[in-house]
Parts: sequence; C-alpha cells; structure tokens
Amino acid sequence: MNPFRIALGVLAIGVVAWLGFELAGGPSRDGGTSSTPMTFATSADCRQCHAEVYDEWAMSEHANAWTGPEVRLLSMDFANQDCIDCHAPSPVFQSGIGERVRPRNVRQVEGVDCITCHLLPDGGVAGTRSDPRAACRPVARAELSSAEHCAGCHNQHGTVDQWRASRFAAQGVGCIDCHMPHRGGDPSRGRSHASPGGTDIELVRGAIALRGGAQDGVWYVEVENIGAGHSFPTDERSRAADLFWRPQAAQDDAPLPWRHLARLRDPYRTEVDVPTTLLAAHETRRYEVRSGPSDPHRHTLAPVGDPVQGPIEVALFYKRSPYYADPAAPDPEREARLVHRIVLAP
Amino acid sequence: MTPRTSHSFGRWLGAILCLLAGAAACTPEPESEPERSAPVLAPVALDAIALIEARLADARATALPSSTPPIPPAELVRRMEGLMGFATGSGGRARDAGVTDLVDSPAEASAWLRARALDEDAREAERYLCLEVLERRGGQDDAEALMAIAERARPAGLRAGAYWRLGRMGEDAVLARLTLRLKYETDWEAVLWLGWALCQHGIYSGLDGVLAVANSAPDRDLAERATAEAQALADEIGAGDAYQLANGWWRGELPAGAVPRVRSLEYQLELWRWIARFDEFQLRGVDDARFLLARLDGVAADVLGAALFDASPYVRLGAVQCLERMGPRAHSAGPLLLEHLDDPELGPWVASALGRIQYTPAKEALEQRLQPGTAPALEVAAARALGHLGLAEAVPALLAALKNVDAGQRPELHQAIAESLVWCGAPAFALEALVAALTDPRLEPSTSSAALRHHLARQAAASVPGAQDVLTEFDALKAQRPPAAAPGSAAPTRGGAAPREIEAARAALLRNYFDSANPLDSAPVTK
Repeated sequence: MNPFRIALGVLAIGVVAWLGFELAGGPSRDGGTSSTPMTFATSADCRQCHAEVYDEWAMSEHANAWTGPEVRLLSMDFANQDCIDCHAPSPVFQSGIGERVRPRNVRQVEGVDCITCHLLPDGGVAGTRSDPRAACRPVARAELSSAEHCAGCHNQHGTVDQWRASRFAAQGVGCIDCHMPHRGGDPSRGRSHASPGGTDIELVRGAIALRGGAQDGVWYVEVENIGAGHSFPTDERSRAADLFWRPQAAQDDAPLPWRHLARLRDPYRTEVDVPTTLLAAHETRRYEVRSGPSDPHRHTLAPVGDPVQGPIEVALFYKRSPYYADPAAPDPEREARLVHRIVLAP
Repeated sequence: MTPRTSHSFGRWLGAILCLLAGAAACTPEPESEPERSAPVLAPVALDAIALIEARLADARATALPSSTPPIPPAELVRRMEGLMGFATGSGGRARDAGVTDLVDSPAEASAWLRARALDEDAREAERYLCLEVLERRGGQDDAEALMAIAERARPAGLRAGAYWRLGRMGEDAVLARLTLRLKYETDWEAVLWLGWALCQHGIYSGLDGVLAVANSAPDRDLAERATAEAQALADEIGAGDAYQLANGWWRGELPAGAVPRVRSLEYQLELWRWIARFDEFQLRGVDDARFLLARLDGVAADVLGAALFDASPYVRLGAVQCLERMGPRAHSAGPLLLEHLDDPELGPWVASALGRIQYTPAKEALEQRLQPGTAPALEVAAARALGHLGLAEAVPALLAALKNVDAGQRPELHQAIAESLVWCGAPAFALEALVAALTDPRLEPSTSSAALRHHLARQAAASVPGAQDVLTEFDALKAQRPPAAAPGSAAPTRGGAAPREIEAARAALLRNYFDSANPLDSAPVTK
C-alpha cells in the first residue's frame, strides 16, 4: 500500500476521532475534559472561567455575609450561632428549592457563595443554560431565576411573601429583575452578580419617594414605597429607615440638630413592646410634623406635640444597624445614609 | 430489615419508652466505634408526641371524677368577684379565709385568675393576689396560668412575682417556656426571679440570669440581692460559689439530687413539641427551640438523642446543634451521636458535637476521619473536635495529619489541625500556621486567635518571660474603638474594630513576640 495513502488514512482517522471527541464534549475551553468534569471545593474555583461574575460577587453583600463588619457586630462574631444558617448556607439545591437553608461548617468566610446557589446535589452545577463543553458542565435549571430560590434565606423575614402580595409578582417582575439586572441593560451580557440591595443607596432612592405639604396649618410628610417589590426596609431586622425634621436655619446660621419623626422597621423578636412599622409595597404613609419628642428606638407611630411653624427640612435616612449612639440625640448624618431630603416652606 | 438496622431502629424507640417509664439511665453503653450501617430514620418526634398525648389522655380518662359539680360560668364569675373583693378588702383571718375560698375554687377558676392578673385595668392588689392564689392551688392549669402571666403581664413586677411563684411550685410542665423567657425577659428584677425559679427546678441555666443581674443591674440593691441569691443557690447544693455551681452544671457534674433525672410526661411532651418545631420553615421558632432545649437538663439530652433518628433532616440537625450547645452536660448522648458520624450532611455537625460534649470515647473514630478519603467537611470537623476533646493522646494522629495536608490546597483543614494541636498541648508545630491564619482571607481568624490566646495564657501561667505583657496587649486590642465612621456611611455605631483589623494587629504583635522570645524553645506547655 502506498505509504502516502496509509499516512492519509491515519490522519483521517485521527481527525474523525478528534471531531468525535470534541462533539462529545472533549477538551473544554479551559482545559477540562469530558470524562472528568471539574469538582468544586471553593468558589475561587469558579473564577478561572467566570472572572467577571466572581469579581462582581466578591464585592457583593453575599460575599460579605460572613465577614462584613455589621454582621460580625450584630452576631457577636457569630457567637450567636443562629445566624449561621443564612450567612454560611449549604447549597440551596441540597436543602431543596423553597425550603429553609441549612448551615455549613466549612468555607464559612465565603458567605453566600457560588456553591450556595449553583451546586447541585450530584456535584454538578446549575446554570441558566446547559453547556456540556464548559468545564463545569452547567445544567439548565429554571429554579435559579425564581423567587423560591431566594426564599430559603430571604423569606425568613417575609421578604418573598411581601413580594408575592405585591403587584410586581402579578406582573412577573421577580427578584432578579431588580437585584440581578442585566449588565448594562444588555441581556446578551448576562446578569450582574453584584446583587445590589439596601447597600446601594441609589437603588433605595429609586424605590422610595418623599414629599410633604401643609394641611390645616400643620406640616405633613408622606413617604411612599414606589419601587421596592417588598416592604421598605425589608429582610434583616437590623435595617431601619428614619424620618427626621428640623426647622430650616437662616442662611448664615448653623443647621439645627435633626429631630426624629418616625421609624420604619421590623423590630427584633426581643423587642416585644416595639411595633412593626415597615412600609409595604405600594403603600403611602403620612406623618404630621409636631414638636413633641420621639425616640427612634421605640418606633413612634403617632407624632405628638404642637404643630410646627415656619420652614422645615425633612429627611429620610437609612441604616443597617438599628441603633444610634445616643437615642436621645441621634446624629443621622453621621450614623446613617441620606436617602431623600426636602424643604417645606410656607 | 437487617438485624443491625433493627437494632438502630430500636434505639430511639427504646429511648422514648425508657423516658416515659421515668428511668434514670436510659442511654446505651458507650461504644468506641459504631457499626457502619446507616441508622434507620422514622417520624420520631411526631410519634413521640402522639404516644405521650395518648398516655396523658388515658391518665385523664382513668382519673377520679371531681367531687364538686361544674359551676355555670356566670355563677363562677360572681363568686370569684365576691371572694376577690372580700380578700383584698380584709385583713388578718378574714383575708386568710377569703384566700382559702379562692384557693379551693373549682378548676375553672384558674382561667379567671389568669385573666384578672392580666387585666391592666384591675386593681393592683387583686392582680397580685391572683398570683398567690394560683401558686397555692398548685395544679398544672394554675402553673400554666402563671406562665401566661409571666409571658405577658405588665408592669414587670407582676412577671417577677409570677416567676418567683413558679419557682416555688412543683410543676415542671412549664419549664421549657420558662427557660425561653431567659431570651425575652427585659426587666432586671424579673430576670433575677426568672433565673432563681429555674434553679429551683434544677435548671441551672437560670444562674446566667441571676449572675447577669448581680454583675450588671444598674440598681445596686437589686444587684446585691442577686449576688446573695446566687450564693444561696450555691450553698444549697454545696458548691463553693455561684461560678463553681455554673461550672458544675455545664460539665454535668452536680451532686446527685441537684438535678432531677425523672420528669413528668407533660415536661417530655413539651420537649418533643419544641423539637418538632425544628421542622418549621421560619427560623424564629427554630431559634427559640434551639435556645431553650440547649439550656435544659439531662432528660432533654436523652430526648434530643432520640430525636437524632427523626426522618426530618431539620429535626436531626436541630437535635445535634442543641446537644453541641449543651456541652458536657449532654455527654450521655455520645453513643447515639456516634451512629451518625458518617451521615453525609449531618456528620460534620455530629463530629463537632462529640467534641463539645467531651465524649472522649469518640477519639478513635474522630482520628479515623482524618484519614484520606473522608469527606472534606467531616475531616475539618473531626480535626476541630479532637481539639475540643483536648486529649494529649490525640497529638500523634494530629501531627500525622498535619504532615499529610497540603496547606495551600486545604487551608481550612491545616488550620483546624494546627488549632487542635494547641488545645491538645502540642503547640510547637502549630504556632506559625496559626499566626498566618489570622491574616489569611480564606480563613476565619477568630478560632485561631482563641487557640493562640490559650497558648499565651499557658505561657504566662508558666512565667515565660514577656508572655504576660503580650497577653495583656493581645486582649487590649479587642477593646479598641473603631475609627470614626465617615459622615453618611452606614458603618456600625457600636462595638470595636472589625475583626480582621484586630486579628491583623494581633498577628503583628505575635510575630514580633515569637521572633524575639522564641517561644518554641521555651518550656513545653502541656494541657
């Protein structure tokens, strides 16, 4: 036989074998092989292929769930072990979609990580689409984008139920539409894993409206939940929003101290005498501005005292820890974040 | 069903039946290593609840009928109002006679007394008299009424009174709910009598409340009263002081008779109802259940041991977590825990619990889980658990494991082994790794920090030069205030610096100390 033909035949067989291997999911784009899909011991493993996603997540509150200073403080460095369930959860697919998550005892510093949401009980990876050629071999699982996927943790304080009761649920606007938006608004670029929420003050500003006016000689303030698909604030009970007011200072005078008007918050379960004052989705609440005292830690519902005369400033502040250093003289500009500020003048 | 699984299946059932019978020693004999077949699971909690409820129903059905005919509600109210007015408006023997009539009122009177005590518009004298009458009546319904008052009454003085009287009653059915009040009670005086009441029933977790008042109450008189009560509690059972008493309770080493080993069916029913709550979705009830069950007695440990065989993974996990939080007081659950060590999900928590309850017969099993082929999470947990056991005999296995582990690939396992070497009295090969762990972003630093502090304290106790100064500085770093938050930031408003900053400062301190003092060459420090 012609040696050239023999060589050609060998080459052809090789090409066919290579093609078959490739089509069957052969050497993957990043060096994995079809017979040995990657296994995942840490979320850092995911970075090899998903650097953009990983970097977004690494800056998110999900990544901070174990290491963030607020949670360290409020959980007493997790001496309160009850916090671990949601701050270092086992994979959601392992607990079951919509079921309560269970805690894990390793990699706790990674908080709510890639593995939490994407790892399947069989060691595979859930994705938005199946790709047998990728190193992790993602399998399409529609549950990933459902509210139930978030519910194991985020319905512990009723957030998902608040959403279910809102018009957004009926309209098909889900958790990921606000909290995992398409990058740059472009669906082809995938969804951001930065998971903006209460720490994104612009997101908060877009969700809440503040306005005011006068009726029968009394200033009033209205706060409206125009965009949050759940109550404001929501989720962790440590979160609080406070309305403050103060007489508007003359042009050259220093501003007067802020005076507390009302608080929006779901109290800790130990705060048995403190009412829940969350602002439900689509709800508008009106407060009269009166001169009487109000304690932010007591969630005053009905302002008391005489009507306030003259121009005033009103501001809505947001906090992730419910405490002010001095409840009798809170300093929201230092201890909280400004959401909205308005001036009411006759 | 194989003979082995039959044996396993029978363990929880046997435990329940044994508890129902009121036997004091229901737990199986210790075993160093269980057989490898998986335990058989069943709806243990729900079955136990049904079983106990049926027993209680039988007991009620066979009880002698009341000798007094039922009174119409309107007649009862009229009579109670009259007696209450008479008793509170009288003195001396007349008052005593009125109170006696109230005490002897029919069973339905308990609900009336509870409602009156909770009525904020009622006269204060009447409300407090209700507490006295309920105590003297002394039945289970009366204890339930006092418990409801303890949970809801305002002002707090009424709650304090209800706690005190519950401590004087013999009913144990409300002890679980009473223990939960340690989490929610906010009034200093009420906390004192709540803690005292629990101690009267042999639940010395209540001592935490008494000591909290003694150490922190702003009212000096109340703090002194709490100190005296704590000492009296210690004297009653021959402990030197309240802290020795607390330590004895934690270690399960109080004298015989100090803690009842037999509790009522109603008490056990309450435990099972709380255990069943582990299966709820909302963590609120789960957290409450974990809180109170972990603070109860050896009977609770036995019940939790039986719950390890529940079909619900949430119930099993909750039971393990409570046993772990109980500490050595739950030592009796060790053999049952060992059966679950290889459970793919529960195993790591079981390992941790075995260490925390100081179940030393588990040493060999834990060492075996350091061998290659063990699930990573179980391997880490086993390494940590050996540290909790603190046995010098575990050092060879830990050193072998340390030699085999790749710190770059398995940093968490490397850290766990190093920490355990310190706790087991062999710090020489661990210190460098632990100092590095303080600043490794892949690792939780606080556990390494605790191990290093333990080493420093041992060195200071052994008068190693410079150790005490470093220990003092090490502790002082924790108390540093954080830098002032930037205006408008959402930084926390209380507490110290972020843990990472503290641990980084500690790492620098220790590197400097180790470089200068060369503590690795110092006298060996043993546990």
